Amino acid sequence: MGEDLSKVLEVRELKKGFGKLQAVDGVSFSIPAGNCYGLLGPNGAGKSTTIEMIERIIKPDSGQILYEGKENHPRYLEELGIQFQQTALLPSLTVRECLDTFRSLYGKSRTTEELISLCQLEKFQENRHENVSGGQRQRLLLAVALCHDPNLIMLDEPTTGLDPQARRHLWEIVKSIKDQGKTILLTTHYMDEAEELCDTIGIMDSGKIVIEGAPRDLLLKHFPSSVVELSEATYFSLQSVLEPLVQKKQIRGNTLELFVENIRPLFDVFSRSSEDLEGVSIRKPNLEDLFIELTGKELRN
Amino acid sequence: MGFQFSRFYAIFRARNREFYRDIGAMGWTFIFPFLVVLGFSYAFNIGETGFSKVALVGEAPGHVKLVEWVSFESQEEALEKLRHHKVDALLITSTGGSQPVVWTNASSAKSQIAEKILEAQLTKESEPALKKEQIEVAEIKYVDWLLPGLVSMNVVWLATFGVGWVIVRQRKLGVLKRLKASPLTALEYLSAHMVSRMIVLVLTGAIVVAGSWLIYPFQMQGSFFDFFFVYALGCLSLCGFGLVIASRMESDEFASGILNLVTFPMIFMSEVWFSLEGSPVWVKWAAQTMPLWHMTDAMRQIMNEGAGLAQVSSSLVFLCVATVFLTGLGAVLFRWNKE
Repeated sequence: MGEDLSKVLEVRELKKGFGKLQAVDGVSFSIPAGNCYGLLGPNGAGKSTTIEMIERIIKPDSGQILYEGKENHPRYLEELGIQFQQTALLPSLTVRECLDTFRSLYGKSRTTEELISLCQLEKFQENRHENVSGGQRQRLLLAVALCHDPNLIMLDEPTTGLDPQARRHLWEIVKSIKDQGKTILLTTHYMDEAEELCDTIGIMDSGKIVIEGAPRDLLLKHFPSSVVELSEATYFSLQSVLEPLVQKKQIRGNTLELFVENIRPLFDVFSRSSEDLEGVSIRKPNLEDLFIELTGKELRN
Repeated sequence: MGFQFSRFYAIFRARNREFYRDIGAMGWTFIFPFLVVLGFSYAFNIGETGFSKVALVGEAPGHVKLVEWVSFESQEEALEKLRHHKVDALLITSTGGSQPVVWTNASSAKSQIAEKILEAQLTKESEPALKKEQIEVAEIKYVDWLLPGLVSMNVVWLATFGVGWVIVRQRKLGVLKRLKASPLTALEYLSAHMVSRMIVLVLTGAIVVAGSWLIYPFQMQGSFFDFFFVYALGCLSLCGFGLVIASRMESDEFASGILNLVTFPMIFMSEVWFSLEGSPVWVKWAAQTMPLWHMTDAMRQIMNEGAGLAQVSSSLVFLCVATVFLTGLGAVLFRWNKE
């Protein structure tokens, strides 16, 4: 079988079941060097199981995981950096001691100072890791994942539970890692995170990847250019003039979403209308729209 | 991946930090044994009341108050028990219908009390008087006898919980899952825990023995080196037992229950508090299958009777085999996480 060394990671027909539940059902994808691949999907879609098989935490029932074209690469664990979704560090250590401990487990490592600077841990480096905030903890876990300067980095829902500021802070760090040419596999159920960080995404549902591609390409392929959000009352009052302009419409909560190819005729309709247009907004289609389009489910469940 | 000292040392150092930074647990580790020494020395200084344990060769002389009989087939066997302070006196009634003989230890106050009890109740005008014989073996105070048992008991919990429960808790929290994704091997991880705990155990043992001597000066008939050699070997075997318990469990509550379920009978059956002389044969047999019994018995022989390593060699062999078997079994069964 020919080896494609430009693919840092390749997963072929991965399967894992727990009793009657088929958590992962034939997942295949590959990540070229320097790319960030995002596995998206709701809770229970099989993202974490997939990533834990790649991390060798759980054994697949079948399928192949190839690193640099080899199934059991001798330096795989040395080249792999992992930020788990649910994990704990060795108890009672300070942030700096955690980094020193994990650095010692690998043959090569970044310096502690380098890690502290990269992940912005300076202000709490002497605190016990149990006593830092959620955002600080995620940055520490990221630093632990990077301590041996890995080539392939797995980030399993790295910003879940963080406030918006802490999320953006972490995104900036991930972008700087990406700029260093590292290959990243990211799982998330935040669509904005995937759009911000990923070159390619695979949307998972019920253990399968239902669609894969670059976020922008997928959106262009599946949706017209704009989404107009307005109340049902406003829509029904203008229904006769709006309907010919709308390609697709859907209800989300109390809001009606209209998918339109050309936004200009809608502006004309709204400008001539005597209706109260408060609450009308226009946005671009996003990955969440795509997921609902493909699976009929909300992502944040 | 072979054994790398840097990885072993990283985990060893982290485990040590975890131990000494938990001030409450560390304080209790050192304070608890002293509380027991103080409690027992106080309790037994108030007055040693209760039954005298008397070895009996021949027919029982009917009901004798305040005496618990322990039957033996031969005089030699019973005298051996008297020499080792397992019984307080020996009564021989089967000497051809002639005088019953009572053997006592001239240096033991408990033995003299037992003799007075027997004399008061067995000497009747119609029967021949008791013939008195004595052996001379240095008296062992209860606290002298108790100390090796106390040291052993302390080790049971420190070793089994300090290795077993700690590893199970780390598995439950997800620490082991994180470590599994690194090049760290199970051998490096487990040996780091074992060595870290052994240092704590040896230090604790030394502090408890030294502290007990200050509170209640005891007599060490044998060598301190031999005493600590047996102690260290016993600690290793009990750490190995902790590894077996820790090999796969995910619940620290369940692990704690299992550890208590095993350690409490082990403590009661290993002559930590009281001699098993007079107990059913199966109890004695069961006790001798436990590392704790061998550890306690060998330390007691060294401390109370001046035995050397050669004289406790059977216990040393048992402890070596138990250490290798239990540690090996724990390592083979070990899993980082449930897959």
